[in-house]
Amino acid sequence: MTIRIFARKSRGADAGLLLEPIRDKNGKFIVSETKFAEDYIFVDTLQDVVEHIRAGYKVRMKSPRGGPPSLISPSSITIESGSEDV
Amino acid sequence: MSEFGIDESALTDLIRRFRETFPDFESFRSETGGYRDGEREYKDAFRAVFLDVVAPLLEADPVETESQARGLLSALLRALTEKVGESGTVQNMVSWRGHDHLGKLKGAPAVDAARALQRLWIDTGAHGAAIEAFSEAYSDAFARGGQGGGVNGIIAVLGSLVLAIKDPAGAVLVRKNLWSAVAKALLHRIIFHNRPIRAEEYEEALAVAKSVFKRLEAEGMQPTDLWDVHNFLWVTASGTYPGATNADSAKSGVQELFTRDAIEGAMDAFDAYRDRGDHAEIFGGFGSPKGFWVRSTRDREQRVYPTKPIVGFIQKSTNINGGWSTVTDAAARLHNAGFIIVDENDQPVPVPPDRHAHLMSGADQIRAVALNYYISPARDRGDADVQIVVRRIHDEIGLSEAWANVSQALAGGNLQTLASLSPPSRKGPEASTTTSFVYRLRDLSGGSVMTK
Repeated sequence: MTIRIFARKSRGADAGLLLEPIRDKNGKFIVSETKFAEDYIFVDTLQDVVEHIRAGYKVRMKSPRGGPPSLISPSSITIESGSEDV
Repeated sequence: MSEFGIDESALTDLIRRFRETFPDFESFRSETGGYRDGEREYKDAFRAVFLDVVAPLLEADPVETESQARGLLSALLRALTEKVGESGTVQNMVSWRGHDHLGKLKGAPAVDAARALQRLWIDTGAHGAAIEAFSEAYSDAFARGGQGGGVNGIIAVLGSLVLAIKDPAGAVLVRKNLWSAVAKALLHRIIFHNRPIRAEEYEEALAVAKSVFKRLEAEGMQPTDLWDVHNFLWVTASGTYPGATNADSAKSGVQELFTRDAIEGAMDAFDAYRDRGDHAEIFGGFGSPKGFWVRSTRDREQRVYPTKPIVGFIQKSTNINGGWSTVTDAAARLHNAGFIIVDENDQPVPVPPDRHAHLMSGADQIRAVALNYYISPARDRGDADVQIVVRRIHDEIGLSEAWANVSQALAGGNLQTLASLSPPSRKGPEASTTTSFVYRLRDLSGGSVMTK
């Protein structure tokens, strides 16, 4: 099953820029209620990220071209899947 | 899975991790030791202060004035921020973000917040319903007090702390990010959503905590109450506990299970499954392998094995992630044990060049592969020496134009230390594809050549 999660930057000079979930130095994705590190939830897979997005959590994302990461709200995130059960 | 749907093998893993973190642990009731000193003592001291200073205000007549409200909120703030116990430790369950507002709420929002705390303290009904009602009332007071957003986690920890102090055996502290990790590990799903905490969510967490309590009791660990369960989960499942052996570490905890003997033993077991259906309780839980296989270090009729069942057999679990995106994934476990990850046609799968710092690479990988695929098998056979050709091992690993690195790793002292070898003799030109190194494994009398 292939999962793709992405968002587009909505404002500024880079409006439209593709953003994707990024892994931290331990290979984990980050989802969170807030921007504060103490609230970060570290998850292993894109399936875990999808589960948290559906529970209302934001996702730490970044452009593949570089730049700083942002915490993106579920309403701005698109989930595409190769299977109907995601 | 238990009656609550808890993955008992995952819980076994957490128990092992807890014992590794506190090697002197005998029982949760021990009066001394690393667990008592590091996790329990200051929480008991904090609870005593709370009961002494805050509880009387919670049990007093309902707050009606701002002055009364400020008195209660300030007392709670002091209890949360003062050093307590013999260790002089400030509690760390509620962070500054969780208590900062207690000094700022004024007027009607302060009164409403104080009343919400009082109602929670004296509530005699189910804890889930009580914390849901508290969460709604406190969220409202918080917002009207101008204290900003992102409060769901703050209110969950504050409300559940009050319940856990009131009823240590029947209520559990909820830090939502810890419980996300706990639920993922033990239930393979999440419990808490990003919203004010709901009764059913809290009751489910409570059921999990009580189930863990029973298991700790059955293990003879003698937990006292659900504070011990919270501490146990915090140490083992948060992934952030200082000094904990962490499943996410490539060099400790679970990874230590992945010795060459253990991996080859799992491959033997997989052969028995293919031939006779043995160990179906583990191997039968995996579907058809896809991209990641692992190459045995022994001569076998069929030399490649699917990674997930092999790792599952060693970890005694069918809940194993494939690939190597994180350090706990099946291919990562085997790669970091010095095994070569291949496709089903035995062609090496290249290590992704970036964002995979958790995977062994460079000279570390070359040395581990040399030990597993050349030196150890030669010792198993009783060979007097073993020769490693640079080009051959380079290609077996699937490296690209890294002959000089291979040559350097094979000649260097680190491999000699790792494998207890004397310095090798070199054949052929220096740092060439045709360079080979010969390591003596037995001296002329037949004894092993060891440097240590």
